[in-house]
Amino acid sequence: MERISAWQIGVLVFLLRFSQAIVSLTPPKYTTKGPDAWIGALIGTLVGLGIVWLIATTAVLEPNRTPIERWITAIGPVLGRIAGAIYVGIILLNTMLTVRMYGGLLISQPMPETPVEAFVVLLAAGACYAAWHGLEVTARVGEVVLPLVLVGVGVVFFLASRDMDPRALKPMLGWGWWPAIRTSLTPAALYFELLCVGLLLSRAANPKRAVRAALIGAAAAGVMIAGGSAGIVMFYGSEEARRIAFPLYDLARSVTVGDFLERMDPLFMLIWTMGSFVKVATLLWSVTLGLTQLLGLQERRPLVMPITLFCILTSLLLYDSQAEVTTLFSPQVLPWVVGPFLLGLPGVLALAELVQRQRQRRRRVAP
Amino acid sequence: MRRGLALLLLMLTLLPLTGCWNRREMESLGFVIGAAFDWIEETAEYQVTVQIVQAAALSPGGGGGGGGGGGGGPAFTTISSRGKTIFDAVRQANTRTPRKTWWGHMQVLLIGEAAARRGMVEALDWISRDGETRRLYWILVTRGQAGGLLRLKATAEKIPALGLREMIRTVGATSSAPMIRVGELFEMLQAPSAAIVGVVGIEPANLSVGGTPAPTFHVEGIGVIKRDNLVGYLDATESRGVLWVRSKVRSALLPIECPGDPESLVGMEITRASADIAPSLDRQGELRLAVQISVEANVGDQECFAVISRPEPIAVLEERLRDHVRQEVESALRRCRELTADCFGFGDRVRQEMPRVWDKVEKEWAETFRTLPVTVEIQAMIRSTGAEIRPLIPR
Repeated sequence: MERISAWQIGVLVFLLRFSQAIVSLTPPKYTTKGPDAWIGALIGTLVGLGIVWLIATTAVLEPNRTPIERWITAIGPVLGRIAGAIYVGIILLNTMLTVRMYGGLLISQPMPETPVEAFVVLLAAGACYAAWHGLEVTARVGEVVLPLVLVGVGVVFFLASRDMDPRALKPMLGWGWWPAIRTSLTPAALYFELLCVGLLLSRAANPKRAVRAALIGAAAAGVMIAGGSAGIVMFYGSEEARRIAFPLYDLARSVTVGDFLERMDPLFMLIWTMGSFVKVATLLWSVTLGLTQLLGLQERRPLVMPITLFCILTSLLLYDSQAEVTTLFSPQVLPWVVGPFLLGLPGVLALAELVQRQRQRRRRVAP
Repeated sequence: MRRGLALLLLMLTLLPLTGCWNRREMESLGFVIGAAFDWIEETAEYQVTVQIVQAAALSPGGGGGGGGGGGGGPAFTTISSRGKTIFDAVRQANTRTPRKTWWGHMQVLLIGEAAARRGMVEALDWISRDGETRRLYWILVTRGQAGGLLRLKATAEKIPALGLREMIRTVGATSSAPMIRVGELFEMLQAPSAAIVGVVGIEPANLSVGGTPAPTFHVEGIGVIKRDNLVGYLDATESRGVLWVRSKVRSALLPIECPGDPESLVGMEITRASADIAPSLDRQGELRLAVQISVEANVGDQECFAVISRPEPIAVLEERLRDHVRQEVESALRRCRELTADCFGFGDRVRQEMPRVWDKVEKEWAETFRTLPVTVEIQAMIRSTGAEIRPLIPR
C-alpha cells in the first residue's frame, strides 16, 4: 500500500485548497462590504477547519481505511455504497470544476483565441500521468511545487505592497458582523475541496501526525486566502476589488518596480499551473481509489484513463460562460449546493460510526 | 497497456511543442504606445486615435525622424478610426494598419472633453475588460479633442506619447496636476468622492525643433469627474490645493514674501507633504471635517538680501508657507463647492471612519459637501536653507 508522510499530507491539503484560490480569491468578489472580505475569509476558514477536523479525527480512529470502506462498514453495503458514491461524485465534480476553471482563465484573459479544450486536455493528461503513478509521486511533486507557489505569491504581493493602502480596509466591521458572515459562506463552502482528506489520511504513514499536518495545511491555506483578500482590497480599493474577475492574476500584471521589473503574469501562470496540476492529480487519485473500492475492484490504475477522459468531456459541458461560475460560487448558491454534503457526509459518517461503536461496546459488556 | 499509455502521453507532449495557439509574432503586431478617445457629436460615434511605435526605426541605425516622417523613417504612425463603441473603433483601426494593434504596452491614454463629459465609464469599459491592456498607464483629459494632440510632434522625444508619459512623471515637480494611472481612476470612479484626473493642453510655439518653433504639451490642472462625467476643471493652484489634501503633493516650488522685504520672494521647495482628514460630529450631531496638513520645505532660492538662516526669519517663512498652502486649499475648496464635487476624498474618509453616518448622508453627499464645515490646520517646517548661510550681498 502507498504511504505518504504527514508533511506530504499537509502539502497536498494546502495545495488542494490554495491552488484554485490563487486565481479567483473569492472573498472580495462575494462581499457586499469590501473592507470586511478578509474577515469573512477568516470566519470561513474557521468553519472549514472545523469540518476538516471532523473528517481527520474520525479518519484517524480507523487508520488505513478510506471513508468508502468506513461507510460500508458503518451503514451496510448498499447504503454505504450510495453514500460513498455521493462522496466520490463530489470529488469528481471538484476535479471537473478545477480543470475547467483552469482553462476558463486562460481563454478569458491571456489566450482568448485558444480553444478551452487545449488547456483542459493538457492539464488533465499531465495529472492523469501523475495519478496513474500514484499518490506518492503526486505528493513528491507537491513538495517541489509548494515552495514555488509560496515564493511566487509572496514576490507578487511584496512587490505590490508599495501601492497598497491599509486605509482601504476601513471601516472594519463598520456595518456589523453580518456582511462578514455572509462573505464567509463561500470560503467555508469551498472547503468541500478537502473532502478527499479522508482518502489521503488512509495512506498516511503516521496517521496522528498526519491529522495535525492536514489541519495546519488547511489553516495555512485559509490564512493565506484571507491575507491575499486583504492585500487585494488594499491594492485596488474595496470597490474595485469586488469587480475584478481574476484579482491575483491582474495584480501580477499590475506590479511594476521602476519600469524594470514588471509583467509578472508568466510567473503567476507558472505557479498556478503547477498548483492546479498537483490538485487535479490528487483529486484524480482520490476519485479512482474511491471508485475502485465502490466497485470492489482489485486494481486502481485501469480506472485512471477512463476517469480522466470522463473529466475532460464533462468539464467542457459543465458550463458555457464565466458568468455561470460566478453565480455558482456566490454566497446565494455554492453554500446551499455543497453545504449539505460538506456537513452531512462527514457528520453522518461520524455519527454512524459512533452508534456502531456504542453498539459493539454494549455487546461486549452484555454477558 | 503501459507502453500504449506511455506512447499516448508522449504524443500528447508534442502538442505544446508546436507553439502557442494564441501566438503573436512580433512582426505582426503594432504596439500601441498612446491612444486618444474622442466622442464625435455630429455622427454620434467614438473616434479612437492610436499611436503605434515603429520598433525598427528606434533601433540604432534606424530612422527615428518621427512625426510620421523625417530621418530614415518614421518612429511612429498615428491613425484614427471611428465606431459606435470604443471597441468597435479599435477594431476599425485594425483595418487601417497592416499590423494588429497590441495594447499591452500602452503608456498614455487621452480622453477628449466631449467623451469625458458624456461618460468616463462608457469610454473606459473596454480597456477595463480587455485582457491585453493593463491598469498601469497614465490617463489625462484634454480640453477639446484629444486625437489631435497625439498627431502633434509637441515634444523632443521621438514618440509624442512617450514624451507625454515623461511629462506626466515630471509634473510631480510642481504638483500642478495629479499623476493618475488608469487603475487608480477605476478605483476613484467607484468611490464616494469625485474622481480627479490630470489635464493636458498645448502651449503654442514653445518648443524649438531645429530652430523651427513648435507647440509643446502642457500638463496642468485637474479635470473633475463627478459620478461618471467630467463637470469642470481646476487651474494649477486649485489643483495643488486638492493634492495637498489628498496627500499627493510630491514636490512644488512656492514663492512667498521675503521676511523684511515684501517686494522680493523666497522660493520654498516642498520636499515632503502629507495630510490627514478626520471627520467628526459636533455637539448638534452635525458632520464636520478637520484637515491636518504637514509640509516640509527647503529654501530653494531667494531674491532679497536678508539673512534667513536664523530661527526668527525661518519662523516667519514657516508662517507664510502655512498661509500660502491654506490659500491654495481654500481656493480649491471654493471651486469644488461651485462644482458640487467632492474632489478631496472627504466622502471616502467619512465612509471609512463613520460608516453609519455615511449611510445617512450618502444620497445627498454633493449638497452636504457644499456646506460642510471644514477646518484646515497646517504644520510647516523648513528643514534647510540650502548650501549657503548668507545670500550673495553685492558691495
